[in-house]
Amino acid sequence: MSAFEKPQIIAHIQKGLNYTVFDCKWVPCSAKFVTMGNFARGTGVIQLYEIQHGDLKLLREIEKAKPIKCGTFGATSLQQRYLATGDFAGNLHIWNLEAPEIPVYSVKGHKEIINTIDGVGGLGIGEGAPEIVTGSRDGTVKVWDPRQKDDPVANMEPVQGENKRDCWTVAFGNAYNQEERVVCAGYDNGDIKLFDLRNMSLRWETNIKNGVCSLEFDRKDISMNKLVATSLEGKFHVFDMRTQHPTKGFASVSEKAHKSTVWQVRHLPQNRELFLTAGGAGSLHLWKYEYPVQRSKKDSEGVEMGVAGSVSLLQNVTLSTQPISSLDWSPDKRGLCICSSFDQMVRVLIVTKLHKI
Amino acid sequence: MTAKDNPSLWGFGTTKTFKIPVEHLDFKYIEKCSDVKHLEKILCVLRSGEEGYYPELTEFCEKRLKGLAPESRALRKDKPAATASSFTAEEWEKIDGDIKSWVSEIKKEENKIHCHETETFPAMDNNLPPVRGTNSRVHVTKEKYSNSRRPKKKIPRDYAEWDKFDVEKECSKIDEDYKEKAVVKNKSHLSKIETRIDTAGLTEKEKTSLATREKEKGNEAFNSGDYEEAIMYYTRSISVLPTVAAYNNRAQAELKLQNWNSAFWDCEKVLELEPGNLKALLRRATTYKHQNKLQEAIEDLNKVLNVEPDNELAKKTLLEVERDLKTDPASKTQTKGKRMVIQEVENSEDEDGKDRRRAQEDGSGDKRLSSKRTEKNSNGNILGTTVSLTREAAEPAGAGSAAEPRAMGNIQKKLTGKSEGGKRSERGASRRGRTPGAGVDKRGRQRAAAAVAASNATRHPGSGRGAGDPAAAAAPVPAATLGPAGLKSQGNELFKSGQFAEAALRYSAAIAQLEPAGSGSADDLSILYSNRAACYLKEGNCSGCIQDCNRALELHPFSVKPLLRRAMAHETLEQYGKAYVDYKTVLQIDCRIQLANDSINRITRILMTLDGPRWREKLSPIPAVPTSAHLRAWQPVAETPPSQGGDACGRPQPGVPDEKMFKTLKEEGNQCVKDKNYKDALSKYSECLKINNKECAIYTNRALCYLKLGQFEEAKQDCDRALQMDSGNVKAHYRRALAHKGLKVSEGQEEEPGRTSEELSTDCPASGKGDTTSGPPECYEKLPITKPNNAYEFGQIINAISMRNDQEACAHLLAITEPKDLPMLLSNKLEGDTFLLLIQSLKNNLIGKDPSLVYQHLLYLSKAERFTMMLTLISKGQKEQIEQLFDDLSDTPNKHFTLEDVRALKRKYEL
Repeated sequence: MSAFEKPQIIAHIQKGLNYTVFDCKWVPCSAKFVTMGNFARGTGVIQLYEIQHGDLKLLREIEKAKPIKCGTFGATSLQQRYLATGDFAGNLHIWNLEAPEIPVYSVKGHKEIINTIDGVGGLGIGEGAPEIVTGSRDGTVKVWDPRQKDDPVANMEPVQGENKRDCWTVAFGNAYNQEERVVCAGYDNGDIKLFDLRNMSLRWETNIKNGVCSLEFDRKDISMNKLVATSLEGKFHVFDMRTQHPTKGFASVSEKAHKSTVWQVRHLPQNRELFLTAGGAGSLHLWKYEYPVQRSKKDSEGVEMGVAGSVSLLQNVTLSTQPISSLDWSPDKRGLCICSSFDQMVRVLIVTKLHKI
Repeated sequence: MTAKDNPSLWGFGTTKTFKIPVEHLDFKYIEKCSDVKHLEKILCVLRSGEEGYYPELTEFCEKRLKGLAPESRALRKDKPAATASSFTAEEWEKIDGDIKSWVSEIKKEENKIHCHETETFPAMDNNLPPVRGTNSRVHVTKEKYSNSRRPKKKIPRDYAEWDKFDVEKECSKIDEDYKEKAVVKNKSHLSKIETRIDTAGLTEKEKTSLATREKEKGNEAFNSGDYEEAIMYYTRSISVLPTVAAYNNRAQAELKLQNWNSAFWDCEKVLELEPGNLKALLRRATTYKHQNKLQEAIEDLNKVLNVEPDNELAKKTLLEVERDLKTDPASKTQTKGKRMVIQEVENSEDEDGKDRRRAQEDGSGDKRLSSKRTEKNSNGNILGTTVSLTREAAEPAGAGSAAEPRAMGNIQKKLTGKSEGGKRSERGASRRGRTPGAGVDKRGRQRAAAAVAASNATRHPGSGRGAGDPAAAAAPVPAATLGPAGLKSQGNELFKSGQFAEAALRYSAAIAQLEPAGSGSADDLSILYSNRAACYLKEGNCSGCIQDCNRALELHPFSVKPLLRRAMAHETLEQYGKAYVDYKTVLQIDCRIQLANDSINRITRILMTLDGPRWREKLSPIPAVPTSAHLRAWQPVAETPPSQGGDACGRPQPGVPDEKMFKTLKEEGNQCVKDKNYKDALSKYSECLKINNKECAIYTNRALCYLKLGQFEEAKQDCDRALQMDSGNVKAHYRRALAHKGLKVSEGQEEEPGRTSEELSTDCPASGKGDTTSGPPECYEKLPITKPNNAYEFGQIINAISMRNDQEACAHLLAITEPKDLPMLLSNKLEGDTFLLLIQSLKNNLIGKDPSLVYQHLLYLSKAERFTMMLTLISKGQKEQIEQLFDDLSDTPNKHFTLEDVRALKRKYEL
């Protein structure tokens, strides 16, 4: 691939903010996105921006009592587009951005900060009921159904007396029909746990030695295909989730990508083999996964085991000196992307030539 | 990973650390060095500036490393993000313009959604699955590997399934299975993906994005080599919104899996939506190529090359096809033979090309398997019927003679297969044989046979060109000049002799000739489609069969045969739900069809194991058969070979046109009876009798009308006449008894034995009490209720009855069952609905006729297993029904039991 055919990452629009931004998300089916964070005075903020004439226009600013750590549109319909957020006090809220004074849904879900949130079953992504999963410093991972008040529909927690680990990341997957669904959670000690929501059981667990910063399935709404896990020490792992070996689990390939923590991984919504990782040193890496010739083979006892493929770097850029804390691809426009970093900046990026890969 | 491996990432290496001699930091050394690791180290040292700053040397080292290992991690450099200046003005304009136009577009879309917001929202919620079981806890430390992939359930088989067992098909299936396993092993999830998406309550925009998304998922799966999965997602995309791209992509995936037929249909669909789509043409050419329709392939490829003369793939395929054409004279002549048919068709008709083409495609056997079989069949036919004609012509071709033993072997196998296949196929064949189409006499048949043989001969390698044989040369002409009726009878002949593919060809030709005639020939077309469907069913081409049945049913809704065939095809394809619906519809039209009854029983069980107790909810609604359909339904059937449930049992056969008239009149009469219009019915039956006065059933039916109209004398006369013809006719006896009763001649009742009451309800057409759902009145005449010999048979019958909730049939069953056998027959299968049905039929149908039988049944019913259990389960309303029954019983004292007995029994029933 010559330099001209390579995808280029363009910093299209940059905007400085007056607060620490933790998360940013595209509003589905629009040229708008929301940013979430906390003001210096200790309150939470949600801002709604729209791209207008090559610039960002602030449409709405909503201030809330507690700093907001994370948000998702994953469990809402395209018609409603409600934003689900988790805050520092462990509250899960669902907001109607048109009328944000009172939350549509509110629950004190966790004792401590909600680090991470994910949604499925909305936006036409994932069969089955809309559900939200939250992971918290209190060590629990809870699944919520917006139709049920107060109580989670599933709760994954350590047994009594067991050390509580800080859950840093959660992700839905395998939602290819009404029954099947899994939640994957990553913890500060490097544990990755895969919960099967259909059987309500732990299906698989592993440890990648360093704290798991971000997890994502390449697609939520297909039979589990790949899972990317990024870690504190600049590495990421790609697991082939199609074939599970009874003892060896899932095959994986790892790659050292950034000089420091890989904060985020996000797959391109239009092509599951491409994903972008965001690093602690303000860098972005665009990767492509290539499948092996045979995705599974028999071990010495004739049991199926997966074979991992390989990853290749397509492009990398450095945007800032501060860590990039969040990253989101536009679901509607191929190659359009937003990212926020700890230097209080939000950037709209364009990645070119993605359709040629 | 240590610092050594990744010097550039750590960047604190020194010459001491790497132990690189300083002289290595030199143009000449670097140029020669081919050790990637070493070069990486050098580069690291140079970049670190530890030994000084040498930009040119660093760059040189980078270049050298890039030449050796372009993927080296040491080469990854921090780069700033690209900006407008990184691109040429043109490129930037494109990128910027693209984003701007998208922004304005998406804003418009968003406004649209906003308008829809309120109206569409509520529909969404209803489709959602229920909330997950509350607050289920999973303890993360508990190690539990659950195997979420359950083995596929084996569906219980019964003996009837062996009737359908096709050895060849099973063999090829095993081969295919083996092949599939070799390619992709992990597909268990595929069966669990829904192929249809519920789009209720979605806006257009949502549908579009959903369809696009599913298509993208398909593309991804395709790219990773999971073609089955890709097809699944394309199908889902199409179910939301049919698009050219999705069909086209699915065709490509089908090609990869070598499903030529499905690929072909997808291409057809694309070309229908977008004529001249190059990809589709190219893909269709590929399907043609593999189905050995080389001429068609060449046509398509030429079309592609006309538009895109440089299309490499098209050129390559064209070369291959032309090579095939040269090396394979057999297929050439075969194709030619077929093409002649098309040309003739095209010459004789002038419109609706597409349909004709499709018909032709259908006819020429669209599965690889079936087309192969066509060839073999034609070979076999030559051996069998026209040996002397073709031997000489075939002999010179070495391949031809080599193929003969194989062909012969195949035929033998087929024959044994057929005899194993048993009743159904034989029945089907003989059925066909009995009615060789309208107005075809023996001579016509002979001519047809000759034409068939001759046309087969042309198809054989070399013989067409032999030209020495006048019969062979002249063959295609009679085939073409034969009218649709002639073609149909040829088809029937061929079907009878087991050459299903050939028969299908004939039907196709007939269809092609009839098609332009439009609605005028709808009846004939429907029959032809139905017959061709039968051929496809025999060949195992279930999808073709279903398509033809659909067409036949479009022309003639609610005709029995296409429905039956479609049901069988659905069943073979394991689409049990659809099969069930079809069988049910058939039973609504004619409940006597044993095949449908059996199949319903079988499928019910399968569906229950597959879908659980709520299987009924998953069925699509069973179409209500309009009463007028009963009449219409019979006409086409009367023309096609009569169904196996046959109503022509021992009935004297009148002349053909009269028979039809007679039948129509009788149907109308029955219809009138059902509508309680007895006067009209009377006149219809009378007209029937003018045509044919030897029909016992008409007399009994007319007697019924008289009875209803209170003309007992006439009723009696009719019954007498009926009894003259058939002295054992139960209905006649019973109705005469009624007539006598009406005439206050009480001895009539003694005269008739008890069996009248046994059979009356099921036999009598009009005693249906306006039960309009259960088909034409005469349905009941042959309801296949025989005395059950064991619990299994009894269970089967009870199931069939309770399926229709047919109390009269149940009463009939009870009447012919010995009361003391009841506990044995019920075994441990006494269920709530069965119990209720028994009680109701005793109460409504038997108590008036034979109280002692009712008493006996009740007595023995109480001795059945699970009886006490039943009593605890029945509802209050049901209890009242039982109580009423006992009251009725007490009101009709009888010498067989006393009031005391009744009271004792009542206690047993806890009343």
